[in-house]
Amino acid sequence: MFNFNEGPERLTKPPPDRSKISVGARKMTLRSFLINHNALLILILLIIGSAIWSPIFLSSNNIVNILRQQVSFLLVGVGILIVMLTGGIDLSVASIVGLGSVLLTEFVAMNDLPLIPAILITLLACAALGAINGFLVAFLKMAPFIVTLAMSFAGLGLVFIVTGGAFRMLTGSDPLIPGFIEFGMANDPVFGIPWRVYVSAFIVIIFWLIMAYTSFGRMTKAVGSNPAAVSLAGIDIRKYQFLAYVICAFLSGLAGILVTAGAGSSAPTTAQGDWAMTSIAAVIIGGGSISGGKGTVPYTVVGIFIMAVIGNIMNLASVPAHPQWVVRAIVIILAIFLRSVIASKDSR
Amino acid sequence: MSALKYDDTYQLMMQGIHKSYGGVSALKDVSLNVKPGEIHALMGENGAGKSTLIKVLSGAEKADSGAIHIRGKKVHISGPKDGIANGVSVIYQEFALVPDLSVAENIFIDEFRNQHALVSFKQLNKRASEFLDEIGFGNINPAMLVGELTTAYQQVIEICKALSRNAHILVLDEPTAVLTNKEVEQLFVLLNRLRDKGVSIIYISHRLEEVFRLGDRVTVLKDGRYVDTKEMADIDQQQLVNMMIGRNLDDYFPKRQSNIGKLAMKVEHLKAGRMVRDVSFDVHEGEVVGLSGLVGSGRTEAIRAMLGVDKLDSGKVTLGDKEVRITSPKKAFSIGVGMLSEDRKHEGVVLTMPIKYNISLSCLKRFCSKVGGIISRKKEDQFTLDFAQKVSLRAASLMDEVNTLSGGNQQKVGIARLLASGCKVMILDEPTRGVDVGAKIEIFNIINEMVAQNYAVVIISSEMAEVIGMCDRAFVIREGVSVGVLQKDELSEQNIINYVMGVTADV
Repeated sequence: MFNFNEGPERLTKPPPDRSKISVGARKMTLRSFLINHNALLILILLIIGSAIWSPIFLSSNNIVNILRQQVSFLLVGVGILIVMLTGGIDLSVASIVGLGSVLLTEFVAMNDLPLIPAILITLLACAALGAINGFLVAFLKMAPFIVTLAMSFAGLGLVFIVTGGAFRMLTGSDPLIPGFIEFGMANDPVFGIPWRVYVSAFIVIIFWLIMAYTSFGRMTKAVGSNPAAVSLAGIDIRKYQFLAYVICAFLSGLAGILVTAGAGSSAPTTAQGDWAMTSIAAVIIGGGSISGGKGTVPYTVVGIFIMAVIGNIMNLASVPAHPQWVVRAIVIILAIFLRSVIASKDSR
Repeated sequence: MSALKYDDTYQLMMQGIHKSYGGVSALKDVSLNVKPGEIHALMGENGAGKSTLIKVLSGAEKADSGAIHIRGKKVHISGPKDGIANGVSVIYQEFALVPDLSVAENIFIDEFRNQHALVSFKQLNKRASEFLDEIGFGNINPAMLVGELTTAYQQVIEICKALSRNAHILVLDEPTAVLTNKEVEQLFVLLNRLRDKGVSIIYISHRLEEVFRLGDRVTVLKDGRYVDTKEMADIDQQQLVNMMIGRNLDDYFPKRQSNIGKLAMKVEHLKAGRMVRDVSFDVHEGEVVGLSGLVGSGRTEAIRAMLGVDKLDSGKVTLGDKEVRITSPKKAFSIGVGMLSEDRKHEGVVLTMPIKYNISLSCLKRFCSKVGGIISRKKEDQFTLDFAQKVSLRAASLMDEVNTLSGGNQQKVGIARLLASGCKVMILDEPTRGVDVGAKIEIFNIINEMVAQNYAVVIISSEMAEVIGMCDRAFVIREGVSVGVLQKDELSEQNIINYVMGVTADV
């Protein structure tokens, strides 16, 4: 009876010629290219500049070094991106990375759990903290900034309660453990790149595909773009907000496990690292937005590597750690400034 | 460009204005002459060039060629500061007020820029009081925070701010869109008072009734060209509409054959908070039912509560012959009841998403694989294109963001989404608000096509003409209570007003 949907050709007269609509994106102009891809340009320029400036930069050792350092940041970055797409923020990632790192050694070294169950329980515990974040934000409508700030304190507390503040080696009776450490630390299994880089890259690619090609990705972005309209369109926005925090915590926990694997040990101070701020900065440099609905996985990766290359080249130049932070700050501001300048010209 | 001599009967003369954006011409040889102490309506469909002309006048845009004379002097307006310096003030729908500052601080906000020493708030408040007194709003306390005022009073403050800058040319862009009927009256009193003081008011509105009540003269633009300027007294609504669209008012509400079927949805005794006290209505298949009433009478609130957006205290909803409990919009869509909000930009469409994603928003599952939810782009492209064409959407590409479209086309995207969702009962809240005449007719045509396909349509509308022209029946809601239902042959302005105002005993 309601055959509106069955017979698309039935309705009204055929559309007039002038309403010819294409389904593809518009042709790219130089300006739209600059707006959408400025982060990639910055990265390429940085790489070219660094390569000219220092011959060591493009050496395979140095490249592997950069990749190895970014393994965990990539995962946290993708997690933060998904939360930020929904219009939220997650400040608790550092604590959860730390917790992921120490829980694994705690289970294996102190409680003598087999490796695989220990990893699974660790991931579950981290995801549970994310679920608390998500529940408070999505269902109780609390401010993400405050909820995750509180969680970052709680997580940090947990890390020190669990470890008693102790540094611990990853040892245990499970025969898989030496292999796991080998997996984390080995420097040249394939093309001189450690395994965990591949693991991290694999997960990033999976999430890239999820965010770009599935309804979950589409809806997550839509929820952050305009929650009121999306909710009135018959979509349960709470589900997507909730899942974003769970995924972010899960990926953070996984990042922590890879930290432990890479070091063969865990330290509670991992939870005090600059995970949150660096990842948020990377998302934003890659075109993401605090107010939600913007950003992609590939450009988050680009953002993370921009941060990484800057750090690396300054290390090569023997710039001390503290001035490095100032330079990072300048680059962040510059990247955002550049984008807003191009974009404001566009709106004229 | 015609070289005209300045005529001192005009406070503002814009002559031969040309403006094009990257080869597309937005204004072609447009003129606008406004006398001192007149309310001059500026009319035309969306895209006719009204806002571009105003931007040229205020300095937000620079004309490619043409001359502007203000009070007999040729002026060069190349930036917003020049506009203000020459006494031009534009009041937009979104006010440029600071809600956390007081009335007086807002009115004299320009002065703070140059104020290096301490500010005497006592004196500031006194001056603000004088200003407010002069325009007949002495009852507003200048020390109050602007955020605590009603929208109408905020508008008054905005106008006051303009006057404090010595504005003698005041442009109001759809000023009544945000006001209740009572507030509209207050605004009209104020505008008439300003006219008597010699201020030239350029008034942009889509509402014909207002323009005829208020305007002295009218200038009509169409497709970026000047059509004509007329004395308001010399023309009627029909002629004005013809000037704007070159179409007859008879075609305004396209005719349809009503073929009303069985009961689709029955809503009884909705109660929700203070706004919704006892609302009942029903709609049949193939029928358009109107919910009429004043702005703020609780119609939107009733629908929101019914759909589970806001809390519903009590009430009964029957769909077909089954009683249903709608706890969320998601539930509503799943049982075939869809709604399009009155607030297009915030609740209707997702402005920053492509058209395609907006149309498929409510029915994305349809193109997704069972496992993993992978979207089939091909299916989605085909499906969304069909619906874009059904609503005669005008867009270059479905991947363009919705905010690149005109208001009317944005609304069509919202309607396309609702159609695509497959809902049988459609609730459209103010479907033609802020939409130009051409798009209005297109939207009416879409609605007619919907009922021809047996959809049940409920329209909330504050425009009486729309209710009379489009609806088979109308329920009138006053102060949160359904006070009556008018059949097709009873639908007249008089009958609706009687119900709305509560004068009716027997209709």
